[in-house]
Amino acid sequence: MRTLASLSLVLIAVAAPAAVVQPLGTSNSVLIPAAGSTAGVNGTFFRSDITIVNLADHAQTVEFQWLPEPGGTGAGEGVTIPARSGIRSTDFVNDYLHRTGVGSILITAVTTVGPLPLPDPTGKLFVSSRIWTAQPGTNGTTSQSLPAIPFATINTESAAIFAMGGADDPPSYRVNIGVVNLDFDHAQTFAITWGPPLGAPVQTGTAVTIPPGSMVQVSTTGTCCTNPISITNITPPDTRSNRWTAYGSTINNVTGDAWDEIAVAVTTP
Amino acid sequence: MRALTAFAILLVATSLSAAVVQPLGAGFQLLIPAAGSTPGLNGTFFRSDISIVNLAPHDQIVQLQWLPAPGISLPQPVLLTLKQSTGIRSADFVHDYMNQTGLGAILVTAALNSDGSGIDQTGRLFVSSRIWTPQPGTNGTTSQDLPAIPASQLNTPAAAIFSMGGADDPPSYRTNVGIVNLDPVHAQTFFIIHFVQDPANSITITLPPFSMQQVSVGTIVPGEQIQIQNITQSGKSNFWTAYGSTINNVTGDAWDEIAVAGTTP
Repeated sequence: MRTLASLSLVLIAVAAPAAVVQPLGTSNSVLIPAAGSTAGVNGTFFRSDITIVNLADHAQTVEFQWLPEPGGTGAGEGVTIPARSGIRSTDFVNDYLHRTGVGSILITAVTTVGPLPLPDPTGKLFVSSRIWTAQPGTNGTTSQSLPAIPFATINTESAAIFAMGGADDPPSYRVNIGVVNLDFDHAQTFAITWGPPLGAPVQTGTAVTIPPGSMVQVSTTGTCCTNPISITNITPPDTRSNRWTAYGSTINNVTGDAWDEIAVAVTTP
Repeated sequence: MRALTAFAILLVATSLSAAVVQPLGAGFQLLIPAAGSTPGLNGTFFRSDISIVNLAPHDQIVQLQWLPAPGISLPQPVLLTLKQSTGIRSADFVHDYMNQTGLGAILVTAALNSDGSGIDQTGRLFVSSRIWTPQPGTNGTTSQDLPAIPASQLNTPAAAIFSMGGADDPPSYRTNVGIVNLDPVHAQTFFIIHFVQDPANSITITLPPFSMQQVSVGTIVPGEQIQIQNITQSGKSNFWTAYGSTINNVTGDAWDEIAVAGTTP
């Protein structure tokens, strides 16, 4: 599945990032909120097709940190990508992280490798990611893209997701919510609520506790599509962190057609 | 298909945008690079499921400008007002709100004045977009997301797309490239190439002001990147963007990538 060892670039990324498009996935450290290499139901097997491109004009050591679901084992792996080249794998979690299951991946340009790698501020990584599976009964596939998020921008007090559920025929779809806890010291607890009552306090929603450096994906039910889904961090203030993000994923029950939305960071009234 | 006319938001977006996640789809002027309401092959019909949310603490006049394919006249923009902390969603937005058919792009602008003129830089719009169709032979759908792009960030001398094509089985996929010319005055000419060693795999297209076009680039093999260069001779502008879209030939499974802006050596 490591179908591509490298891809060469002729394009040179412009040096002044403020003056150009800054894709969501370009940074020296980016988070893929959901990735996997895991069997699903009805003969499906979900894998992550991930591309990482080093846009810098120097070779780049890159560390991959696996943030598993609770009970899983985290891992750190790394590669060096030559200047202006990239790697791609259709089963990245297996091929590069040597892991199975569902988790998140924190990808960081580093200056050294080892237990305490130092982030490289000159790193310019582009990352694209999608989760795919062969579609049972066909010779084709089904998949959904998941944008990579620049780690430095993650500062989430509360979050909302607006466009979940299938507006054309709501009963034909299911919705999952994923939350990634990027605080590596403290567990965080979140209330997930679809529809009113929204805003603080929101302890009425599904409460999910996520260990440090891990992620959880849960199913949610609600009445599409009249209200957003809100995710509120209800961790006690002394250990509460804004280092988390969330996403929603809507899946068609018949075809597996799916799409996602990264939560918008907001504050509650 | 206008499944939802408005939804209320009780959350308040922070005003300190630099301190929070700034999703790709949030800003005062956003481009949906591809949207449509158009029949496809084999019984498909592609529609755009679009949500627009006003995250600002004030009512917002919103201007929606349809950027059509070349050869189609630029229509008058659509104006609407979103109450503070509310939004709209439609599963066939191009038909329901734009009163258009075919494939195009949509420029969503927080307007300053009731006639749609001016840009309200205090506007905080969130836009999500996907194109979907019923999947023939099933009771389900197939779709792909298309992120909305803050137009103020567009400054594209050249662009590249990296992860197109189906790496698991390349012949089972086809790839399209779309380009949006946001220059309101000048046509722009683009050179698209997806295999640098073989210039035969190149396409040149010219886009009128405020228009978009999607073209097929065939099968992408692993390792190929797609490059788009602006080769306009007169009136060259960096106010454009591009995307790639790969589609599975069997199921219609599809994904896209917004081109990365850069310069060429």
